[in-house]
Amino acid sequence: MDRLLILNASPRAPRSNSRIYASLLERYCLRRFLVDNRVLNTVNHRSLCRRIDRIHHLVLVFPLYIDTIPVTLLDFLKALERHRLHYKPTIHMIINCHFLESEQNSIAVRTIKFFCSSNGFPFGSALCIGSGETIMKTPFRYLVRYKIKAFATAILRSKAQELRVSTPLSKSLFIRASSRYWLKLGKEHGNTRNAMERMDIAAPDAPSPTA
Amino acid sequence: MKLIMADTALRLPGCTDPDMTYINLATLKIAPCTGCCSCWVKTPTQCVINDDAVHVYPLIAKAKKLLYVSKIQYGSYDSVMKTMLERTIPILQAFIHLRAGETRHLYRDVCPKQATVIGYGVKNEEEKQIFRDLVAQNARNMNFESYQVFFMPKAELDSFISGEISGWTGC
Repeated sequence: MDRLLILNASPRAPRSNSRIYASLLERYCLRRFLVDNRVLNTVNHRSLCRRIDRIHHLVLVFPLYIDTIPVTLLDFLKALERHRLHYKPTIHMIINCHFLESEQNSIAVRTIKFFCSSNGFPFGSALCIGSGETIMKTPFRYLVRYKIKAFATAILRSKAQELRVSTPLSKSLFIRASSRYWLKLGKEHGNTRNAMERMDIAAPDAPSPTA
Repeated sequence: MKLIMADTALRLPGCTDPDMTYINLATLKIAPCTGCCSCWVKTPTQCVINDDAVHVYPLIAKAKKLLYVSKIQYGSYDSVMKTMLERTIPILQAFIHLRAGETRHLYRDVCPKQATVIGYGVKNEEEKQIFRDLVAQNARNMNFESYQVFFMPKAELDSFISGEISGWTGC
């Protein structure tokens, strides 16, 4: 049985949406692979690199940050590049973004593919999730489950696939639903819509550290 | 205002424009964004991490002319610049709207910008193209009304940037 490592590379890993996607993937892979589900942090790069030396598949699970991969993952990839691996596993990825269009994840997919091709890692499958912040809190969560199952099957069959899923709503309906979601979160912290829509950007009083 | 933000020390002799600010990110203490979304829902417009980044993102919002200088890694900004850019989230609202046919976060008071992005340390044409497409996407999310992307060896940065900003009034 092949060994598979799921790596949650979200900067807010313990309470992230990536954690939910990683758990679902773990569930669908349990009978097909020897699965290890880990969280990336700033101090475990070396131990993760040693683990990766003994696996067949690495699945990176992370959110889109400023249109590409988060810096936490970027730093880990640099560490992985420096580490001398005896065996290079196939790298797969599950990425999610706030936006409705799962295509907004495509630059991050190209970034991971570029890392793989530059460092001799085979690239496997990618699952791009749109509306990733909210979709698991809606009745459409079954679509994500279905796609993650298909993603697990693609890994098992060594069939490289690029899968996409998002909330099947019109853009205007999605925007309304997403506003309700953010307003609810603001309200939980005592903020109104007006406060959340503040336009002036607060700068602290201390002198700025410019050169 | 005009802002030059670099991940390395630059020599910019002769520029005395009081409206221009130069930031060498390599000398600042900037922690990575933790994705807590507090700047959207808890303390709107303010990041809860109290480090140097909280002085930088208001300047990015205010800048009308912007010049970024960054090492390139896998077609992305390298860690120093990327860490800062991830901390600019407070200049956006949590709310999403439709812009150019795609869902995007609403801006707060973010000036439209003429941006120049300079990448160094790039490996090949494929990496350049990924980076160009990344900047194009950033442009839509960060209110760049126009932008240019250049690639060059690190050794050529100073002379190129001096020439570039000589066109900016007062330099």
